[in-house]
Amino acid sequence: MGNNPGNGVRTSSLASRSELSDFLAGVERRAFKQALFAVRDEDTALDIVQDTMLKLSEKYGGRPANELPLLFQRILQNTIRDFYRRQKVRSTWTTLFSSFSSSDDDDSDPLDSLPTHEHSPLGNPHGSLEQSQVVAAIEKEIEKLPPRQREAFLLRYWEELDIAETAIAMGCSEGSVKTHCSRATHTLAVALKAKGIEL
Amino acid sequence: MNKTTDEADLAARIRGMLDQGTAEISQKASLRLYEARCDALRHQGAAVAALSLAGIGHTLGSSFHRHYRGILALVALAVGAMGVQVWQNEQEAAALAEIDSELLGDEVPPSAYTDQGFLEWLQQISESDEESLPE
Repeated sequence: MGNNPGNGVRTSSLASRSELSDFLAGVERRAFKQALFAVRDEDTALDIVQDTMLKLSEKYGGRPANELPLLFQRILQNTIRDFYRRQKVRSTWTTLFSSFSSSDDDDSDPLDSLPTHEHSPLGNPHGSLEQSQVVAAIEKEIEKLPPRQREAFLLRYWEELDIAETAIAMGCSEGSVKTHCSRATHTLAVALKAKGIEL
Repeated sequence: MNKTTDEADLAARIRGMLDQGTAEISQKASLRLYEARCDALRHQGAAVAALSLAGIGHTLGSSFHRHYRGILALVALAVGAMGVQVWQNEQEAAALAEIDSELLGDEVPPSAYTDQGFLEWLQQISESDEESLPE
């Protein structure tokens, strides 16, 4: 899709099993992160990605390979939105019983969510740690973005969909995509600058 | 540098950082993603099977369209034969019902018509009636 290598060639041949497998293997980690930014729970994010993969394979597994990225993103965004809807219904009940819960989650240090390194990073350990801190800080700021801005930013700049494809995946106008992307980038720039992070 | 270029430039750098982040996801999450992918690939066959069933339906449908005139003629013939059979049965039933009603409406009980003596007497009576008729 977009500027991804190999996507410039528009073929109409149906996706083979290996093509579908390669596509899913290439997109699954980014999809997991996208879902994690949105729902902030690892198990729920994994469930969302699993549902998305299953729906794509069952319903659109026979579609041409070049259509898979956009179809996958549409399903992923819809599945995340379904989660929001269910959560909204659930929260109306839980707020009745959880008025004493603490509200200081937003003040948590981004470093608390640093992932455990299971493989030793190459190069200077001190430099790698700093790099991981920067990555964690950026991910935290992306989590804080309003959902539609985050969705537009990630689809447009991480998944590298073009504006029209992003609009289709989000179910909105191209103008809205541009606005969401612009606001998200501005918010991220300000937030990272405030943290002293220069990219 | 204009605003759009600045935006794309910053986004490209953030993209690089996000890509690094994907390399650091937990082993548990990696395993579940792998399992989800395998599960999804197993279900790719479901869509293909559904397409095959649709193909069988299409074949049957196109065969009907090719021979529908002959099939309709056979169906009409069968319906006509069944109609004639039903009409004949109704006619026979009506005739039997008429005889039954005449027998039951007569003063002589129906059992008398099975008595041989009564039949002979009836024949003699009818013959004597014919002889006594004026020329």
